[in-house]
Amino acid sequence: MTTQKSNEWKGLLFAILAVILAAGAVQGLAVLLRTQIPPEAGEKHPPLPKLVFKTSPELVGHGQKLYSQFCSHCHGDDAKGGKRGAPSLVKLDITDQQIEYIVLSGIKNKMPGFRKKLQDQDVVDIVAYLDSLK
Amino acid sequence: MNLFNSEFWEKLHGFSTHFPLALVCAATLFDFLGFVWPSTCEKKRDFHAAGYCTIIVALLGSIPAIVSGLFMTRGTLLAGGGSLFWHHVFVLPGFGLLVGLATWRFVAGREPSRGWMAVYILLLVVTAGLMIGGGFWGAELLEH
Repeated sequence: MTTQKSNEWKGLLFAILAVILAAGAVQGLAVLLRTQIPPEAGEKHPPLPKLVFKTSPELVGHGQKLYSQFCSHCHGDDAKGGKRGAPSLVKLDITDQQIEYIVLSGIKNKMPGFRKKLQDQDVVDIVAYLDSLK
Repeated sequence: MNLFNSEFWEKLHGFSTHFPLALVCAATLFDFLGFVWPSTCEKKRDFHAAGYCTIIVALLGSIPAIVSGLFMTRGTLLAGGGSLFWHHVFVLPGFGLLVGLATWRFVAGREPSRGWMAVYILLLVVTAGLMIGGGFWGAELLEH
Protein backbone atom coordinates (compact mmCIF):
# COMPACT_ATOMS: atom_id res chain seq x y z
CA MET A 1 0.00 0.00 0.00
CA THR A 2 2.82 2.40 0.96
CA THR A 3 4.76 1.46 -2.21
CA GLN A 4 1.65 2.09 -4.30
CA LYS A 5 1.18 5.48 -2.64
CA SER A 6 4.79 6.45 -3.29
CA ASN A 7 4.42 5.30 -6.91
CA GLU A 8 1.49 7.68 -7.36
CA TRP A 9 3.51 10.67 -6.10
CA LYS A 10 6.54 9.54 -8.08
CA GLY A 11 4.26 9.27 -11.11
CA LEU A 12 3.12 12.85 -10.60
CA LEU A 13 6.71 14.07 -10.51
CA PHE A 14 7.60 12.13 -13.67
CA ALA A 15 4.41 13.37 -15.36
CA ILE A 16 5.33 17.02 -14.70
CA LEU A 17 8.85 16.41 -16.01
CA ALA A 18 7.51 14.63 -19.10
CA VAL A 19 5.11 17.49 -19.89
CA ILE A 20 7.93 20.05 -19.58
CA LEU A 21 10.17 17.92 -21.81
CA ALA A 22 7.40 17.41 -24.38
CA ALA A 23 6.62 21.15 -24.47
CA GLY A 24 10.31 21.89 -24.98
CA ALA A 25 10.60 19.27 -27.71
CA VAL A 26 7.55 20.57 -29.60
CA GLN A 27 8.71 24.18 -29.33
CA GLY A 28 12.28 23.22 -30.29
CA LEU A 29 11.17 21.25 -33.34
CA ALA A 30 8.84 24.07 -34.39
CA VAL A 31 11.65 26.64 -34.20
CA LEU A 32 14.00 24.29 -36.05
CA LEU A 33 11.49 23.72 -38.82
CA ARG A 34 10.72 27.43 -39.17
CA THR A 35 14.39 28.19 -39.69
CA GLN A 36 15.72 25.10 -41.46
CA ILE A 37 13.19 23.85 -44.01
CA PRO A 38 14.07 25.07 -47.48
CA PRO A 39 11.25 26.18 -49.78
CA GLU A 40 10.01 23.46 -52.11
CA ALA A 41 11.23 23.53 -55.68
CA GLY A 42 9.55 26.29 -57.61
CA GLU A 43 7.87 27.66 -54.48
CA LYS A 44 9.79 30.90 -54.27
CA HIS A 45 8.51 32.51 -57.44
CA PRO A 46 5.70 30.29 -58.72
CA PRO A 47 3.58 31.70 -61.53
CA LEU A 48 0.26 33.18 -60.45
CA PRO A 49 -2.92 31.63 -61.85
CA LYS A 50 -4.66 33.79 -64.47
CA LEU A 51 -7.79 34.73 -62.57
CA VAL A 52 -10.79 36.59 -63.90
CA PHE A 53 -11.98 38.90 -61.16
CA LYS A 54 -15.71 39.50 -60.88
CA THR A 55 -18.17 40.27 -58.12
CA SER A 56 -21.67 39.37 -56.97
CA PRO A 57 -23.40 39.22 -53.55
CA GLU A 58 -22.75 35.45 -53.45
CA LEU A 59 -19.04 35.83 -54.16
CA VAL A 60 -18.75 38.61 -51.57
CA GLY A 61 -20.58 36.46 -49.02
CA HIS A 62 -18.29 33.48 -49.60
CA GLY A 63 -15.29 35.78 -49.63
CA GLN A 64 -16.32 37.16 -46.24
CA LYS A 65 -16.56 33.62 -44.87
CA LEU A 66 -13.07 32.82 -46.18
CA TYR A 67 -11.79 36.12 -44.77
CA SER A 68 -13.08 35.12 -41.30
CA GLN A 69 -11.38 31.75 -41.71
CA PHE A 70 -7.96 32.80 -42.92
CA CYS A 71 -7.44 36.54 -42.48
CA SER A 72 -9.47 37.90 -39.55
CA HIS A 73 -7.12 36.46 -36.93
CA CYS A 74 -4.46 39.01 -37.94
CA HIS A 75 -6.40 41.74 -39.80
CA GLY A 76 -9.37 41.92 -37.41
CA ASP A 77 -12.99 40.76 -37.70
CA ASP A 78 -13.98 43.99 -39.44
CA ALA A 79 -10.77 44.13 -41.56
CA LYS A 80 -9.84 47.43 -39.91
CA GLY A 81 -6.50 46.12 -38.70
CA GLY A 82 -5.43 43.68 -36.01
CA LYS A 83 -4.02 44.03 -32.53
CA ARG A 84 -0.70 42.51 -33.71
CA GLY A 85 -0.07 45.31 -36.16
CA ALA A 86 -1.53 43.78 -39.32
CA PRO A 87 -2.82 46.67 -41.49
CA SER A 88 -6.40 47.63 -42.27
CA LEU A 89 -7.75 46.11 -45.49
CA VAL A 90 -10.60 48.60 -45.79
CA LYS A 91 -10.29 50.95 -48.80
CA LEU A 92 -7.20 49.18 -50.18
CA ASP A 93 -5.49 51.23 -52.86
CA ILE A 94 -4.05 48.31 -54.83
CA THR A 95 -5.21 46.28 -57.83
CA ASP A 96 -6.99 42.93 -57.68
CA GLN A 97 -3.87 41.26 -59.12
CA GLN A 98 -1.75 42.75 -56.36
CA ILE A 99 -4.19 41.44 -53.71
CA GLU A 100 -4.03 38.04 -55.40
CA TYR A 101 -0.23 38.07 -55.32
CA ILE A 102 -0.10 38.96 -51.61
CA VAL A 103 -2.79 36.43 -50.62
CA LEU A 104 -1.06 33.60 -52.49
CA SER A 105 2.60 34.45 -51.94
CA GLY A 106 2.51 36.27 -48.61
CA ILE A 107 4.94 38.95 -47.50
CA LYS A 108 8.37 37.85 -46.31
CA ASN A 109 8.59 37.75 -42.49
CA LYS A 110 5.19 39.45 -42.19
CA MET A 111 2.44 37.33 -43.65
CA PRO A 112 2.16 33.68 -44.71
CA GLY A 113 1.12 32.81 -48.26
CA PHE A 114 -2.08 30.82 -48.70
CA ARG A 115 -1.26 29.16 -52.01
CA LYS A 116 -1.75 25.66 -50.61
CA LYS A 117 -4.90 26.48 -48.67
CA LEU A 118 -6.94 28.39 -51.25
CA GLN A 119 -8.39 27.41 -54.62
CA ASP A 120 -8.46 29.92 -57.49
CA GLN A 121 -12.15 30.62 -56.89
CA ASP A 122 -11.45 31.28 -53.20
CA VAL A 123 -8.98 34.00 -54.16
CA VAL A 124 -11.53 35.58 -56.53
CA ASP A 125 -14.09 35.55 -53.69
CA ILE A 126 -11.70 37.08 -51.16
CA VAL A 127 -10.78 39.81 -53.65
CA ALA A 128 -14.50 40.42 -54.25
CA TYR A 129 -15.04 40.79 -50.50
CA LEU A 130 -12.08 43.15 -50.07
CA ASP A 131 -13.27 45.19 -53.08
CA SER A 132 -16.68 45.49 -51.39
CA LEU A 133 -14.97 47.24 -48.47
CA LYS A 134 -13.58 50.02 -50.69
CA MET B 1 12.24 10.70 -50.59
CA ASN B 2 12.17 14.42 -49.87
CA LEU B 3 11.73 14.80 -46.09
CA PHE B 4 10.47 18.32 -46.55
CA ASN B 5 7.72 17.31 -48.95
CA SER B 6 4.60 18.72 -47.28
CA GLU B 7 2.31 16.37 -49.24
CA PHE B 8 3.92 13.38 -47.53
CA TRP B 9 3.46 14.98 -44.08
CA GLU B 10 -0.14 15.90 -44.87
CA LYS B 11 -0.91 12.26 -45.67
CA LEU B 12 0.93 11.00 -42.59
CA HIS B 13 -0.85 13.56 -40.39
CA GLY B 14 -4.28 12.59 -41.71
CA PHE B 15 -3.44 8.92 -41.20
CA SER B 16 -1.90 9.18 -37.74
CA THR B 17 -4.16 11.65 -35.91
CA HIS B 18 -7.13 9.33 -35.59
CA PHE B 19 -5.31 6.64 -33.59
CA PRO B 20 -4.51 8.69 -30.45
CA LEU B 21 -7.95 10.31 -30.56
CA ALA B 22 -9.74 6.94 -30.62
CA LEU B 23 -7.34 5.39 -28.09
CA VAL B 24 -7.77 8.21 -25.55
CA CYS B 25 -11.55 7.80 -25.79
CA ALA B 26 -11.17 4.03 -25.38
CA ALA B 27 -8.82 4.42 -22.39
CA THR B 28 -11.34 6.77 -20.74
CA LEU B 29 -14.12 4.25 -21.25
CA PHE B 30 -12.07 1.26 -20.01
CA ASP B 31 -10.87 3.00 -16.88
CA PHE B 32 -14.31 4.42 -16.15
CA LEU B 33 -15.83 0.93 -16.41
CA GLY B 34 -13.08 -0.43 -14.17
CA PHE B 35 -13.77 2.40 -11.72
CA VAL B 36 -17.52 1.73 -11.41
CA TRP B 37 -17.39 -2.07 -11.67
CA PRO B 38 -17.85 -3.91 -8.32
CA SER B 39 -14.51 -4.67 -6.64
CA THR B 40 -15.40 -8.33 -6.23
CA CYS B 41 -15.60 -8.86 -9.97
CA GLU B 42 -12.54 -10.01 -11.95
CA LYS B 43 -13.56 -7.79 -14.86
CA LYS B 44 -12.60 -4.67 -12.86
CA ARG B 45 -8.90 -5.60 -13.10
CA ASP B 46 -9.27 -6.39 -16.80
CA PHE B 47 -10.81 -2.99 -17.55
CA HIS B 48 -8.02 -1.19 -15.69
CA ALA B 49 -5.40 -3.31 -17.50
CA ALA B 50 -6.99 -2.38 -20.84
CA GLY B 51 -7.07 1.31 -19.84
CA TYR B 52 -3.40 1.14 -18.79
CA CYS B 53 -2.23 -0.35 -22.10
CA THR B 54 -4.48 1.84 -24.24
CA ILE B 55 -3.30 5.17 -22.82
CA ILE B 56 0.36 4.21 -23.32
CA VAL B 57 -0.28 3.18 -26.93
CA ALA B 58 -2.24 6.45 -27.38
CA LEU B 59 0.82 8.43 -26.27
CA LEU B 60 3.11 6.51 -28.62
CA GLY B 61 0.59 7.00 -31.44
CA SER B 62 0.37 10.74 -30.81
CA ILE B 63 4.07 11.31 -31.48
CA PRO B 64 3.89 10.78 -35.29
CA ALA B 65 0.71 12.88 -35.33
CA ILE B 66 2.42 15.83 -33.62
CA VAL B 67 5.67 15.53 -35.60
CA SER B 68 3.89 15.24 -38.96
CA GLY B 69 1.67 18.22 -38.06
CA LEU B 70 4.71 20.35 -37.27
CA PHE B 71 6.45 19.35 -40.51
CA MET B 72 3.25 19.93 -42.49
CA THR B 73 2.81 23.48 -41.22
CA ARG B 74 6.57 24.13 -41.23
CA GLY B 75 6.71 24.73 -37.50
CA THR B 76 3.75 27.09 -37.28
CA LEU B 77 2.40 27.19 -33.70
CA LEU B 78 -0.66 29.19 -32.62
CA ALA B 79 -0.56 31.45 -35.67
CA GLY B 80 -1.76 31.62 -39.24
CA GLY B 81 -5.39 31.29 -40.27
CA GLY B 82 -8.27 31.05 -37.80
CA SER B 83 -8.84 27.31 -37.98
CA LEU B 84 -5.15 26.45 -37.60
CA PHE B 85 -4.96 28.70 -34.54
CA TRP B 86 -7.97 27.03 -32.91
CA HIS B 87 -6.70 23.59 -33.91
CA HIS B 88 -3.56 24.33 -31.91
CA VAL B 89 -5.51 25.84 -28.99
CA PHE B 90 -7.17 22.45 -28.51
CA VAL B 91 -4.49 20.03 -29.65
CA LEU B 92 -1.46 21.39 -27.78
CA PRO B 93 -2.97 21.27 -24.24
CA GLY B 94 -4.56 17.94 -25.18
CA PHE B 95 -1.16 16.53 -26.11
CA GLY B 96 0.39 17.96 -22.94
CA LEU B 97 -2.28 16.31 -20.81
CA LEU B 98 -1.87 13.02 -22.68
CA VAL B 99 1.89 13.05 -22.05
CA GLY B 100 1.35 13.77 -18.35
CA LEU B 101 -1.45 11.25 -17.85
CA ALA B 102 0.25 8.40 -19.72
CA THR B 103 3.51 9.00 -17.85
CA TRP B 104 1.72 9.09 -14.50
CA ARG B 105 -0.19 5.89 -15.28
CA PHE B 106 2.97 4.12 -16.44
CA VAL B 107 4.75 4.91 -13.16
CA ALA B 108 1.74 4.56 -10.82
CA GLY B 109 0.79 1.14 -12.18
CA ARG B 110 -2.35 -0.57 -13.39
CA GLU B 111 -4.52 -0.03 -10.33
CA PRO B 112 -3.80 3.18 -8.44
CA SER B 113 -5.95 4.14 -5.42
CA ARG B 114 -9.56 5.25 -6.02
CA GLY B 115 -8.94 8.92 -5.25
CA TRP B 116 -6.09 9.24 -7.73
CA MET B 117 -8.04 7.19 -10.26
CA ALA B 118 -11.04 9.53 -10.03
CA VAL B 119 -8.86 12.58 -10.80
CA TYR B 120 -7.09 10.64 -13.58
CA ILE B 121 -10.39 9.70 -15.26
CA LEU B 122 -11.66 13.27 -14.98
CA LEU B 123 -8.50 14.55 -16.68
CA LEU B 124 -8.82 11.83 -19.34
CA VAL B 125 -12.29 13.18 -20.16
CA VAL B 126 -10.83 16.70 -20.50
CA THR B 127 -8.04 15.32 -22.72
CA ALA B 128 -10.51 13.47 -24.95
CA GLY B 129 -12.61 16.65 -25.20
CA LEU B 130 -9.60 18.75 -26.19
CA MET B 131 -8.52 16.20 -28.79
CA ILE B 132 -12.02 16.00 -30.25
CA GLY B 133 -12.05 19.82 -30.41
CA GLY B 134 -8.67 19.72 -32.15
CA GLY B 135 -10.05 17.15 -34.58
CA PHE B 136 -13.03 19.39 -35.33
CA TRP B 137 -10.82 22.38 -36.18
CA GLY B 138 -8.48 20.12 -38.14
CA ALA B 139 -11.42 19.01 -40.24
CA GLU B 140 -12.43 22.67 -40.68
CA LEU B 141 -8.97 23.28 -42.15
CA LEU B 142 -9.59 20.55 -44.71
CA GLU B 143 -12.98 22.00 -45.60
CA HIS B 144 -11.45 25.24 -46.79
